[in-house]
Amino acid sequence: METQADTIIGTDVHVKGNLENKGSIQINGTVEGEVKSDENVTIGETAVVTGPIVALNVLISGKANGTVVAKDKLEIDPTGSIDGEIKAKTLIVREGATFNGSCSMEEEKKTLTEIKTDSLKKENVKDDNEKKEEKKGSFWDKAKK
Amino acid sequence: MYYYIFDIKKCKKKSQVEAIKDYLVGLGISGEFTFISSAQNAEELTELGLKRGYSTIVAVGADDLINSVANKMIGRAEAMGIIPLQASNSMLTLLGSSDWKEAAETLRFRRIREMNIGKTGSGEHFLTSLNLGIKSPMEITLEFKDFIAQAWVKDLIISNYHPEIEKLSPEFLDVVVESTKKEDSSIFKVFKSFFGPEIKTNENNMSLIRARSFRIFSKKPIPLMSENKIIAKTPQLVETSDEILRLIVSKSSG
Repeated sequence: METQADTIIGTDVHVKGNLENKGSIQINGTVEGEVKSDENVTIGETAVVTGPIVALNVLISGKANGTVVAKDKLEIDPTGSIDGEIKAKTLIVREGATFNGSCSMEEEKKTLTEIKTDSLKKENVKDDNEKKEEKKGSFWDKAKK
Repeated sequence: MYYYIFDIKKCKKKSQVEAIKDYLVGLGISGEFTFISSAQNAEELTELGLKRGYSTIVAVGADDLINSVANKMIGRAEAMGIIPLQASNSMLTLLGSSDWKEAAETLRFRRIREMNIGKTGSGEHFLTSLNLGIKSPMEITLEFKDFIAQAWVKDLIISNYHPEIEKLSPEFLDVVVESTKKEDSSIFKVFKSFFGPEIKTNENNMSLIRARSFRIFSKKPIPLMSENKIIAKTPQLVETSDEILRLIVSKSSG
């Protein structure tokens, strides 16, 4: 996982509220609230996060109390602990890690736009096939005639 | 065309003023030369230069003079130039000039960089960075849009431009905090200094938060310094300017 972070919360720093960032977030201090990133979230050994964590990739080396959602990969290090629900596409739990809660691993749910685009594509393919069939039909019909 | 505002105190010798003037004349960028005094400060002189229709106002001095001129140049179509005298390294890197001669030559080429600069709630602007004027750790609260951060702070830098901090967005200030554990009472402090574990500087106690705007609070008012000048005190709002400064810089500007 990328180590350079756009936002870093150092040890002995206490954050209350929602930390949301497009870039990566590294936490070594305490956070009471949601941590959300479009990229990576790293919870360092000294960190305690009480609240949901949502990111593309999540690495837990400290304590996470709350739901952890990794759209791609969730790693729990030997020093890491999670108390809460986890959702991830890929899950790596290293020996010594603590996890209390439920876990679900499912494919990332498609957004409404993606679903619409997919169904449109399918319809287009269907239409193309029907047109081909019609063309085929008309040719054979002509041939028969 | 060029209106020069000198801080004569930053000249090593009186003859340096004449040397700079001669050099500017030699480069073909002479103009009106003015000097800050108790009668007219940098901001008043800047306003005067703008009123007289000069297209370039040049601050000749250190960071405090430069910031004062920037206070009046922000949002203006006219360009601001800088000839640094005893200016900070950050300022020199921003300009891309290592001394006043290089900076004078830069003025001639008029390569303009449009940039947001930092601004305090009390209306003071800063081109490079601010830091807290504290000698021992203080309890600080930083209030951002969606969260607050609290810590015992050893050092804090609010950077609009700093050569050692990678700027991700021109519209954001980079807030770097060096935090420490809550300060012990004096008896424990003495005890620890004799018998306690050696305290090492830890990279993990550094924080970096990027924000367009935030407020800074402390129990007692703490000065916010630009180099050695106090430009504001806590509690204070610090943000990036909505308007742009048109600054003349060299090709090697950071």
